[in-house]
Amino acid sequence: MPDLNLVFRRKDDIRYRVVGDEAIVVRQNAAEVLALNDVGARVLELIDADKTLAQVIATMSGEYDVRPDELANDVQRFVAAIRDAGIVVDVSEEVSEKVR
Amino acid sequence: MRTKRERKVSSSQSLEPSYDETILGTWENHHLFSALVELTYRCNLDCYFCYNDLDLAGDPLRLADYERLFEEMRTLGCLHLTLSGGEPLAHPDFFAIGAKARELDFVVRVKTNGHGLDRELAGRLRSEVDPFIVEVSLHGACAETHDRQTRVAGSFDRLVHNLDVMRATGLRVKINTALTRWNEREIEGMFAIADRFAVPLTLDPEVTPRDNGDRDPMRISASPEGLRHLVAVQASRRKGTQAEVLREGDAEIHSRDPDRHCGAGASGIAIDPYGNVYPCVQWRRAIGNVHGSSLQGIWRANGKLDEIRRLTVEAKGVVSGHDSEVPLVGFCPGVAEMLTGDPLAVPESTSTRANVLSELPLHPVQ
Repeated sequence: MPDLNLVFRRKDDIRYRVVGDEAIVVRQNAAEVLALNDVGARVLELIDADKTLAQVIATMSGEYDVRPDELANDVQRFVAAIRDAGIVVDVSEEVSEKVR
Repeated sequence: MRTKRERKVSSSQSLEPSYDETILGTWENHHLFSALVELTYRCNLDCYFCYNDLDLAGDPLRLADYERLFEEMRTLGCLHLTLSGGEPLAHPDFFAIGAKARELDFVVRVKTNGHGLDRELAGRLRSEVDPFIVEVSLHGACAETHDRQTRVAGSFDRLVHNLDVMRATGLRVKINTALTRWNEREIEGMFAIADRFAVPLTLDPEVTPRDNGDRDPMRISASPEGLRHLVAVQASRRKGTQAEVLREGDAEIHSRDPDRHCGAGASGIAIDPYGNVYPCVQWRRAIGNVHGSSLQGIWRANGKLDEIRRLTVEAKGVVSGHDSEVPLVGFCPGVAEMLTGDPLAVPESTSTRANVLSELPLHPVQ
């Protein structure tokens, strides 16, 4: 699972909108549409290349009635899933790739 | 203020595609999800069957107007934005408008004739606008036919060259063609061009009147033989059924039975260069103007739009009650209103198409 100190950002080809209680995410390069539930949509909103995962979780802990450790675990697993799906990228990995 | 919600963050449930349901939800909940913006009616070609009303007058929207408009669209939750024309690249602020659309995270489609998209402009389009797709118009499989329609010599050769450039630039491209009496014998050739560049080709079997009601373009509507030929070619290519002969809007038919015929005015709008707002690019019944009115106001409290939404529900009954062995493919309330004065009346051209399809054998999908 991704470290809580990591910073993520949405990939450049990602477009999304919140529609009702879900987020519709379009991966332009793959011509693929994904749907995230409202909580997933909130994670995506908060991931902006500026906040660490810990900061994202801290923000959400004030919004959702979930135990902090449970929330952290769920958000980390979710971010791992959308990273693997090509929706977000770890900013530090990008930097190290450029340096290389 | 955001309230606490008793929801788990569930990674196992969060990546399920449910796009059909989403689209239906936008129809039923009147969620603006897609907009087509005609930036200008200026064009570097002179297509015989161009549907734009070139005599339409008004105060053209400027860059600042589009910036405000796009902000409003985003606030309303609109995701899909089509930049059209005329020739959209002929708008003096096209790239600034497109860049704004990108900045606001729209899924942008650019509908262009492709004539001006040389290496430099294609590169700028890719880097500054990054559209989801560029849709270009092809009117025949050879210069004689294509240039006859565009009325600009050399336009076919230039388009073919620019298709190569666009693909090399990394743009995602799609070809649109209106089937006409002039190009109906060149269907295989047009598919061959699309195949050569590995891009999809959509053939629209209907030529519509101009937006001012002028029916002259319909003189070159495809013949029944041309339509049959299109069906045969499509069936051969896709190993599909005759029901694949659809108009572009028909692609929004979904797995669950919707409560209305289409999303006109329910989840989609079109806006002309002078700020007039329509329920759809083909339904030219103005429901407001964004000069002096907010789009949000037009969208949320509008008796004219309520009427459109009611009519799309009734239009579903027209299609489902049609006395034919095949669906009333391509029925469009907007075109019906243009041709007959009644959005719920079936135009002769639509009936003819349905009759032609009913004569053909159904092939199983393989």
